[in-house]
Amino acid sequence: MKALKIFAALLLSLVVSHNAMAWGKSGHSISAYIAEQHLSDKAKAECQRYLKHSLPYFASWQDHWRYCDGFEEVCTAHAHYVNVDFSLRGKGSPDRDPVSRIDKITKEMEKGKYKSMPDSIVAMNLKLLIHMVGDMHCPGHITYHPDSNYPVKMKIVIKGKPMARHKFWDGAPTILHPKWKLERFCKEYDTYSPKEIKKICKGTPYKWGDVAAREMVKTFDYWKDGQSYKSLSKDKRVAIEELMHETLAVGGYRLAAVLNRIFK
Amino acid sequence: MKKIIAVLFAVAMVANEAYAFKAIGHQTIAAIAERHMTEKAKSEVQTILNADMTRHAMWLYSLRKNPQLAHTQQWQYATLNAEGKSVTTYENDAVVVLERAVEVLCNRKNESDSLVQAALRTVVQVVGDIHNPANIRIEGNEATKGFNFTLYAITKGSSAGENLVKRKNSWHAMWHNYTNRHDIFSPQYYASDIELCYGSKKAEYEKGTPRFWAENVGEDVVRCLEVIYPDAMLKTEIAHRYEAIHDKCMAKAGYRLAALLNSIFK
Repeated sequence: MKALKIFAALLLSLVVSHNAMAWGKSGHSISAYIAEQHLSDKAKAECQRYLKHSLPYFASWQDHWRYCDGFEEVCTAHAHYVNVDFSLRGKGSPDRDPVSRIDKITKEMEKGKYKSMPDSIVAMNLKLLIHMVGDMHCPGHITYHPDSNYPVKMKIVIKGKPMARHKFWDGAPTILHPKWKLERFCKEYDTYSPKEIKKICKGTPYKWGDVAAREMVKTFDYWKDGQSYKSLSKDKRVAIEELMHETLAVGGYRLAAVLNRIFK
Repeated sequence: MKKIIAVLFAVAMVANEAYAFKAIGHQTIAAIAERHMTEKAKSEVQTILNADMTRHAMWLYSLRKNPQLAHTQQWQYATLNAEGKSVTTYENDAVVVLERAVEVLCNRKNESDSLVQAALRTVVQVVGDIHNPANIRIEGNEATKGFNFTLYAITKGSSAGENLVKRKNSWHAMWHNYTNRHDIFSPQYYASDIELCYGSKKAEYEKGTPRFWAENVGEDVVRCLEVIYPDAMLKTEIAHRYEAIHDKCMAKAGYRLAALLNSIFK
């Protein structure tokens, strides 16, 4: 009985920790890689100076460190979700949700203010931005108001096994394209014109979050609860692929915009 | 030795790439090396392998399933004496295998093409192998042969209270799994990433001989084993922190492989 209890507790904690995951490591890496292609020379040099690695290297840093001593607050589970109210507008929760934290960190670092910060803080802020800008564009990372009754717990069947909607979107890049590497994803997804990118990057993280929340509502129509991916019509599959393309690219462009603004 | 390598070559033609999916670490080391090889070395290696090195970085692993070649599994391990020195002459020790393969390559004009190719594939992989801390064994230190430990974290979910999460881990799995974090990277991109961090150390890292290299990794092993030990219960961050040691070892392996091949094909 004791063993059963321990097993149940472990299982529960695994479920909890999974639900708090973001884009899978691949999605984060793809957005960060696309961002790298759109950094100004100065932003790229400064990111390399502080991080000593590429942006994709630290794309899942916030997931890795979230339960480690001293990082519980900065990497908190709340920092991975955009919370919206019944009217699909960001509720905001200062210092906690990704939208307000992206805005706060950007304002703290822009206009050369990062130069007066300790290098370790600059590096940590960059790692957080790389992750959170990706997260807020992940279709599974909008927390809707409970009364909105969206079927957030719906499942899709992949290779004969039911998979939670959240988990599907988190892992979609490698579920749909298991053999692609970063360069291939970038070639296929980094396809927007400079004019479109400029339009995409207009506005604030708050506006980006609100737009994402409204856009993602359509994903609830992509499949019926328990439906197999294989049985989806071509139109629905194309819609999933296009949304993944859009969200990963847009997340990358906006991450580049945030970093270019900080290191202007 | 010639006979063994010749047999290996024949078998490898059938078994090649069976483990390609888990090859990212070895392939990255090969990709780092390719960035620092002379044009002459690159050209000769390309001619011998008829492909770039990243395609041959896991060659030995494909041989193990053949019972006659099961002993090649030992070729990934380098054993140091209790003082941390590589003095072994054991024929299946990684360093000894590496020295013999280098000998074949240096004498390549008098060897068959198949033997030279097998020797080059062996060098490409074993230089990587001796830079994985899990592959260094130290006499009198049983822990270096491998052991289990547990990582734990207190999780605080957004919708649940605190939970204690424990995960079994092992000395070998820890060192082998770091590359899983970046398995969407191509070897070339991973190589460029590693170089951002360790590129300035290249001149320092590439010095020495295979025996010195194994001893050098052994120093890291001893330091790590002061913190991670059999049946230890450790906080998760320990494993996160050691990723930097893993990356440093990959950088060293890449620079050293390039230096070795440049000296062979000068």
